Amino acid sequence: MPKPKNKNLPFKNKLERIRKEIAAFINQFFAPIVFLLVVVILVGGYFFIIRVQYANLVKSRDVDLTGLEKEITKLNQELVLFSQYVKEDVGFTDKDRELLSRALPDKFDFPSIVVQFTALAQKYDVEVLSINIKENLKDEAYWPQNPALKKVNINVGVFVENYDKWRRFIKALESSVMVFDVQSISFSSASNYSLDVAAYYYQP
Amino acid sequence: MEKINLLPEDFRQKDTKDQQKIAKRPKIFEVQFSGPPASQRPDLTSDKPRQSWWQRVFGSGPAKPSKANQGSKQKPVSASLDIKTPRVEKINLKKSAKPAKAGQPKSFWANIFGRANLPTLAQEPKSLANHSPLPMAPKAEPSQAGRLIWKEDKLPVGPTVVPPPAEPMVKNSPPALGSIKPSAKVDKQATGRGYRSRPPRFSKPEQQKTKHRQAASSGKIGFDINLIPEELVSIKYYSIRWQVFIIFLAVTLPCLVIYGFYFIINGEQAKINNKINAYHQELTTMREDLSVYKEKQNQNIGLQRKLLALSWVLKEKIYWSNFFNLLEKHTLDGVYYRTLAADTSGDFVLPAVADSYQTMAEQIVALEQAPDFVKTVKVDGARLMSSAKAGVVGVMFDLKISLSDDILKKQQP
Repeated sequence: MPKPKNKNLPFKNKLERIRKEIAAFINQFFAPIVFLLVVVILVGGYFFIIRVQYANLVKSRDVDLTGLEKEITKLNQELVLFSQYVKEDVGFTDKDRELLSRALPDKFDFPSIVVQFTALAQKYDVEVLSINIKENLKDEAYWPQNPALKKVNINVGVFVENYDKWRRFIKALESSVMVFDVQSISFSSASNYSLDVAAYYYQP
Repeated sequence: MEKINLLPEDFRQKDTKDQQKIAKRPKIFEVQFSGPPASQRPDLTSDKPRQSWWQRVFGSGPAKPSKANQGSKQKPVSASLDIKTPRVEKINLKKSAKPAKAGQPKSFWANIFGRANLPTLAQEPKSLANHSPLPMAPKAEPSQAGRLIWKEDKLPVGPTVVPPPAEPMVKNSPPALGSIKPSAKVDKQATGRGYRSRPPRFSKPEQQKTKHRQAASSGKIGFDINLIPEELVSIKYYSIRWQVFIIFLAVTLPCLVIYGFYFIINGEQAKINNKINAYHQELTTMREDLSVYKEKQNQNIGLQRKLLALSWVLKEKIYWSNFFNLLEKHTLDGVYYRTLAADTSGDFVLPAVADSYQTMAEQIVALEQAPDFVKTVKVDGARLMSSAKAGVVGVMFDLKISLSDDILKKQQP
C-alpha cells in the first residue's frame, strides 16, 4: 500500500538510512570493532597508566631506594668511624679546658687582662702606674696558619723598688697562665720601668 | 501488471545504470534457433552487458536456458527473434506460484561462491491474455513455477516469442514463497537465542538491520520478500543484547587487566614506598647520632686548633729573664748599667759605667768572650764621669750589643 506522503520524509529517510548504514556497518564489522576496542583500551591503558606507573616504580626502585641504600651504607661507615673516634678519649678534662681558656681566651677580654696583670704585679711588689691596651686589629693574621689567633698590645708603666723585684716580676710574667709576651723593656731611672707586653686570644 | 523490483536500492540504481547502458547498444539481433549443433551455437549470453557484482552473485539479467529449454532448442526450429536487451521486468508473485526447482543441489561453498541468479518468476503479460492460457504448472512440477517474459520496453507489441516454461535458471533458487516462514520463527529456529540472521525475513520494518532488508522494505510492495539464498542468510550476527554484552566485556575485561597490572605495580610501589619511609627514618636516626658525633668532633677539632695556636704562641714567646740572667752573668763587678731600652730585635745600646778604664776593657772582653750571649760588642764613646762631691766616679761608655740568636726565646730552666 502506498504510504501517505510526508514532507519530512526525505530527511527522515535519510537519517534512517544513515542510522541503518551505521547499524549495518557495525553488524558487518562487529568482531573487528570489538577487537579494535580491546586493543585500543589495552594499548591506551598501557601507555597512559601502566607505563607511567611502571616508570614511577622503576624510578623509585632504582633512584630513590638505591640512593637511600647507598646513603645508609655511607652513614653506617661514618658511624663506625666516629664511634671508634669517640671511644679514644683525648684525655682533656674540664679543668684543662678552663686552664686553656685562661691561657688563651676565646675573645678579647680587657678586664681579665687588667685583673691578671695587676694581680701579678701586686704579688711581686710592683706598682702598676699605667696600662694602655690596644687591640692589634691590623695584625689579624698574626699566625697565618690560624687566623683565629689574635694579638693584643699592652703598654704598662710600673714602679719597682729594685732590680731584684723587677727580675722576679719579669719571670712571673713569663710564667703566668695567661700568655704575656714582653716585647720590649725600657727603664730610664732607677725605679720606673716601661713594658710593652703582648697578650693573645683565640677567636674562631 | 504491477512492477516489482526486489533488488535493494543501491543495486537497483546500479541496475538502472546498467539498463541505461544496455539501452544505448543496438537492440536488435538475431538468434538462430536452427543452425549449428549446440556445441557450436553462438552464446547469446556473450552479448550480455557487463554485469555488476550483485548481478553476478544473485543474477538479475536473463536467465540461462534451462535443460528443458535446451532440449527444446535442439528441435529444428527456424525463427528470428527481435529482442531488446532481455531483462526481467515484472514479477507477479502469487502464493499459489511454486518456485522452480533449482536443478541439482549444490554444496554449501558452491552456493556461497557459485554464480547465483535471481529467480525470475513471471506471469503472462496482458498482451498474451488473448492467447490460449498456459496451463498452470502443477505443484509437483516446479519447473513450471514461473516463466521468463522477454519484453521490449519501447515496442508496443509484446514479445514475439514466449519461451516455453522452463526450469528456473538459477543455481540457487530460494525456497518457494509459500514455504517461507515468518522471520521471527525462522530466527528462533535457525539461529538460536544469541544470534539473529541477516536479514530477518518477514520481520517488522523496525527490525530490519541490513541493506538488503532495507531495500526490500523500501519497495513499494506491501509485503516483504527475501530472495537471498538460505546459505547466505545463514551468516549470523549477534543480537543487540549480545552486542552490548560483548562490548561491555570488551571494555570491562581489558580494563580489569589494566587494573590488575596497575594494582600489582601499585602494590610494588607501596612496598618500595614503605621501604623508602623506613630508610628515611633510619637515616634520620643515623644523622642524629652522627650530628652528636660531629659536634664532638668539631669541639675536638677546635680544641686541637687552639692547642696548636697556644703551642705556637709559647714557641714564639720572649723570655727576658734569660737575657737578664746572662747579662748578670757576663757583667763584671764595678760595672753597672744606667738605662735599658731593649726590644725583641736583639740589637740595643747599654749605657754602662765602669770603675775604671781597666774595668771597662775587661767588661768588653768578657762580653766578647760570651758567644752564648752576644754576637758582637761595640763600645762607643768612653769618658770619665765625675761629680763635684765625689770627684771622678767612673768611666761612662755605651755598649752596642747584638744578642745571639734565640737568647730571648730560650726559657730559663
